[in-house]
Amino acid sequence: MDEMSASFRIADFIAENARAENIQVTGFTRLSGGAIQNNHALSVVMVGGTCPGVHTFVVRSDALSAIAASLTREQEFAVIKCAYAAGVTAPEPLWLCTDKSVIGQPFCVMRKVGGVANGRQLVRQELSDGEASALVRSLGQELARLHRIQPGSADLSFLEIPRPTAAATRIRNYRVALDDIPEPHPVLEWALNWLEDRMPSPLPLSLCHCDFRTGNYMVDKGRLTGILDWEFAAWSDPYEDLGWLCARSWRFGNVNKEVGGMGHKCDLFDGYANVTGVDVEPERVKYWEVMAMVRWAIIALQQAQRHLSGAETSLELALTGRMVPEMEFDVLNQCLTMEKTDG
Amino acid sequence: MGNQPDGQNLLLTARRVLLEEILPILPEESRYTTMMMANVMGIAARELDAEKRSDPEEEKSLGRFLIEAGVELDQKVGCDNEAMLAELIRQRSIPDRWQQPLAEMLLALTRRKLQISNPKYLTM
Repeated sequence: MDEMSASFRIADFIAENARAENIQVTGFTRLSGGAIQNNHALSVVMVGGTCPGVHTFVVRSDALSAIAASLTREQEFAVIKCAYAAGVTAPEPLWLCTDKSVIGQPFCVMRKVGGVANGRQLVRQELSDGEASALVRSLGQELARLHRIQPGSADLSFLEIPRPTAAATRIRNYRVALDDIPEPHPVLEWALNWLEDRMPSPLPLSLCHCDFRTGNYMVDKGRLTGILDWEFAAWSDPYEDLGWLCARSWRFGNVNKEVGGMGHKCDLFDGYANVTGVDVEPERVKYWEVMAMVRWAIIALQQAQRHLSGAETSLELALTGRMVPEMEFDVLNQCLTMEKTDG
Repeated sequence: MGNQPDGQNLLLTARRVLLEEILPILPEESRYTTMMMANVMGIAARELDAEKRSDPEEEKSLGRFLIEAGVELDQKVGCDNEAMLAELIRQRSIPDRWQQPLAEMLLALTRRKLQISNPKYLTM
């Protein structure tokens, strides 16, 4: 189906759900980012119904490289609804279409939020110290609000409960993933042993975003406007999100700003504790940073495999494979530094 | 000696043309892809150079570590040393007293890989 026909069909679906008398498409453009999902901005003018007027929506559907580990559009929509209802700054989820006859695959419609998500652009923005501090504090508050959602409190039964613990499940899964990579990775094997030997006492499971990093949230004029890309959400140890956000791999060259290249941990932890009422334990965050870097290395190896297998020949995927030594170097340095600190 | 200029020279020459002559006339939206192209050409050139100047001592060091750590290499003739190391780590077969040299060995191995894929990363 060509893009124009798809945009009209999506508009008809929206009109039906918003009970509009009339809908006119004024724009349909592909948004950048999202290797796993296709994101389009759809601008419409609606007459009558529940939301008359001019609107720009984001339409999210599966891309060519959809991977098995991620949620379906239907599941992701349920997660976003749950997070949005808990006060998390996610884009407002509006409608879900599971009927494949409309555009050939399921899609969901969300309200478009303004701002920039691109990590490289964000870390180069000239925010004052105060603005950066407030932004990072708000990232902590957002995560804390999300982590209030626990298995008993939400109807997200399609999300698996990791057993016996989130950390043990991750380590097991990463070893299985490494078995599928043809070339050996002694550093990652070593790091998985290290993580296994130092598993912190488990915390109650929370709803975790599991891809909460610079590049996956929108910022407009220094303020957080929306948290994106929920397809990896899972019940996990809440520190997994803090570790992923702070991991050295996601600082876009701004290595001294430990929170995604944007700011400092003291502000992140302060914002988080402000909502939960409990202090963040920095060593736990560091443990989950190591877990995060191992995970990113494995994802990078899987991306390189997609290129090598011919499933999706891509310069970017190929290059991602050669970034793995950077992650391995960071993992080793962080583990060895933590060992020294432990005495 | 093979044909000259060799593969490394060809790649570096093409990379310089790409960056100095082609990149300035390309539209902004092609910049990222072009930089990626220059990056992979640099990696491939450094890899060819490393193969040309491979240090037999360096190559032997991993094998020597495995022997000294008590691994009977002759049991796994033909098995790649790095694969064997990965397997031994997974099995937790490397004795405790060898853990420190193991960590140093892994750091050295990773530094060598970074010398090819992104030498600047070593000084960041």
